[in-house]
Amino acid sequence: MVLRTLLVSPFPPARDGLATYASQLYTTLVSEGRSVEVLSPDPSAARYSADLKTPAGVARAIRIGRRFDRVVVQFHPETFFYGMDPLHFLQGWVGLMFLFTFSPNLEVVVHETPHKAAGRLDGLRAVLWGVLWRRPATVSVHTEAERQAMADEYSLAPEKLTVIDHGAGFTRHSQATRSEARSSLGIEPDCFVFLCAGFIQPHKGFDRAIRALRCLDGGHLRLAIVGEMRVWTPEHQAYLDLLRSLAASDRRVMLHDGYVSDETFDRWIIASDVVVLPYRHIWSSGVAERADLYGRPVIATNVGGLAEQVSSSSYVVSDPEGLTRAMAQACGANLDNVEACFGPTDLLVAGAAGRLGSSRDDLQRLVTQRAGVLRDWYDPLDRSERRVLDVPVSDPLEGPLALPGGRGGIGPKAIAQRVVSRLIDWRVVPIALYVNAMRERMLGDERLHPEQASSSERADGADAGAPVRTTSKQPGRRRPSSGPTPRK
Amino acid sequence: MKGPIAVVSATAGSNVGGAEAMLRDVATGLAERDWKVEMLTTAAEDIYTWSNVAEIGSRDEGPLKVRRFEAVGLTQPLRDRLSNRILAGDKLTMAEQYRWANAGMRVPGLYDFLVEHAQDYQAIVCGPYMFWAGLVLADVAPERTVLFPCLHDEPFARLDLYKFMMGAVRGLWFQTEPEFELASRLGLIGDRYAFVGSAVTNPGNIDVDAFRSRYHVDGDYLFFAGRREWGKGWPQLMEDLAFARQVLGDCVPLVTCGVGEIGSLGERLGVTDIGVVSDDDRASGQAGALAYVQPSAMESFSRTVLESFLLGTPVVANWHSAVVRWHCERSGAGLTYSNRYEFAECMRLLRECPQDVTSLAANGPSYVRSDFTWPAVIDRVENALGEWF
Repeated sequence: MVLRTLLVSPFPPARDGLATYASQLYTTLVSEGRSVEVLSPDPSAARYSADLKTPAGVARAIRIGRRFDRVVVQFHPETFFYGMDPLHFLQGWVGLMFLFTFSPNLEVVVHETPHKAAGRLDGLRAVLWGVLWRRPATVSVHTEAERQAMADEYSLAPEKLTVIDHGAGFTRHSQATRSEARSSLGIEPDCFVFLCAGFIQPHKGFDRAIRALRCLDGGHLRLAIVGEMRVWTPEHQAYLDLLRSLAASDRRVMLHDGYVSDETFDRWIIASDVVVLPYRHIWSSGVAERADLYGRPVIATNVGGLAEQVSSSSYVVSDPEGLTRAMAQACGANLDNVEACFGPTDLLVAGAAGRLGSSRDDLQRLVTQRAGVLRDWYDPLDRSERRVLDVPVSDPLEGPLALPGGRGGIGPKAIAQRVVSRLIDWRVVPIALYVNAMRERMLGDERLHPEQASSSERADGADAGAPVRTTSKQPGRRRPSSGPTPRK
Repeated sequence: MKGPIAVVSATAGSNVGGAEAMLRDVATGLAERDWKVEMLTTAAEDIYTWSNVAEIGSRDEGPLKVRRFEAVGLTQPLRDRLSNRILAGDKLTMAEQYRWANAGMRVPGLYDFLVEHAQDYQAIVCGPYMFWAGLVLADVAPERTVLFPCLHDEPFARLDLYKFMMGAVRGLWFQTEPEFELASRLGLIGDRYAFVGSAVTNPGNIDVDAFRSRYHVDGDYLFFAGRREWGKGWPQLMEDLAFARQVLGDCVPLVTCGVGEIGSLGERLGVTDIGVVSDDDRASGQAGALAYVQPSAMESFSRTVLESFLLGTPVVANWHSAVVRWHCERSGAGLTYSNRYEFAECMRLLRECPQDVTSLAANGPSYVRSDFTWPAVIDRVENALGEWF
């Protein structure tokens, strides 16, 4: 008797890495003669669909699942949660609890934990997740590092978790040769091509690869960045803008932001010499598996299970210098420029050799230079810059929105105000705070870029032409030899 | 004997803030130069609760006569509600601003005393600007009042009532040029002002070995002495320290003294909290540190930074404090950081080539001794008093 399996996962046609993964798994299982059907959260090529973020959808999935001998859930938080705020978290958690409890022979393959999705995991949530992960018969991850991380974060017995090969079901989508692939993509045959491929998102760190390339000499070098924005948010747009701006500064960078078919995606891998995965965080990478499928070496950052996932011929790096050196080694470029890009890379040696300089200004300059590199590495969209507080700025809202304040009094009007306040403050206050934060950000931007905000005011300096106060009514005033001179 | 002069301070306890300590030092310095000086203050010694601890009344303490009045505590819910609106950038009406000021610690007995006796003093010196008595003096005896604003950039400094207060009094005494520049930007400067500066005293008994032994401190360490609270930049320091650990793997451990909790993040980071200690122990801790950390963005003078300079300890300080940045840049004895990345790089420098950072400290003592000594400050105070009164 053939076991009947229900696969619960996003499914094609969809621009989604998990859908691609599920599609390949489905193809492999079917080719092996298994009986498999798919339930996807959105309508798709799958036989069934159910919105797993809603109680009705969960009930439908349970009802359908009970017709099968085994249910395999490809888990990603976005499939089950509208958001990770307390209300939505609780709603999603209850749905998952039902699904995990009433599905027969449940196997869950975890592609990303809520820890990464939520940004933080507080104690109570960790406990609730732990309860959830104990329900399925099997919970699988793709690397040993993920297994250990889950066991630690949710207090699970490691034997509860199994490790499965991420690329086990992967198949080739292109049979092109390298020269055919390069020709079709407009790449010169004698170039050395680094490839960053995948959805364009800040955590993918493609900007890191551009910055590393800038440190390498060689007109024959190319860095192809290929992918599309999976979701539009101001942050994703800002990141794409950053990539465009960086790419415009180096003609060797080829940025292709837009739809890429599975076949074209693979053709880019075939055309490349090295696949670069400079991720800021990730659990495991389908791109790494696809690179391996075509025998391309990988340069990857040491995050999540990547180090474990990539082949022995690949490079694993932890910092900007490491990435640059790995790319230089891979293409045989000169390493001399690395230090010029990052400042002295070995401070201890530099210090002993007296190369740091002995003055305070030398050290402060070094701190600032290296901090810029560090910020680019960790969060290139971080705007926490030095602000020039004394530059006059224009206020877009003519003052911040007032937050609901004290409403004293005992009359009917005061009571009514308090009632209304109780009813709406929980929604109004966050919005007002958000708008005020936006206003602050705008004011901050003007302070950061005063030349755009008030170039005429800055031209001569706000104080440059102001008279020095020479009133006789300042007997105690002292004028130090250095430092700014006070002016009225 | 010259004077008499009244120095009005919120507290004269042993564990006070920088402004109150400075006022007491000025009062003492004048008294030692044959001025008749009275300190008018409260019986409170805790700036959080303002509970009256000392004996109310008048008594001689060294060269000073100290009159203590009862502090009336905070009207907390109102104070908090209005403070939150100010911090959120809301514009309060003048009536609301006075309501906020009167919901803080106030001293009705001092008001009565000043109504009756303000004219008995040649001059009345008060500070810092947020102390309730400043508003009283601007009403009761503006022509005799000199204010040490001890100003730093914060939303409260932008309240209109302080603009009126500082415009009403006889004059303002500033401790540093960045403080003056801030006052100027905020439109707080009246007809008269003077730079009288401020100073730190030579530390007492320094015994680093005894400090290490007493508090079980081994190896290199960073030191922070002060209130562990938001206003002093403590939570941000913990975040920055955590980030530095993430980047560097480890970094120089932090030892801290003072009031306030170090928080759960501080505990996870292994911060050593030695609590409230004597001045000698604090100075010994500063002297033995690889670097002194000043995370506060809201400083008007920063005595601890100058004490560290004097003790030959380099400083790693928050760039957003204009006055601390000014000290570090002018002295060459400290580095500044404006974000977590620069903080991490400062920590990297301290870990990997500490000798380059500690060599900066050689610039510190001469900087302090050339500009920030009490004799020089009292000279300038006397000059200002002589010219203004």
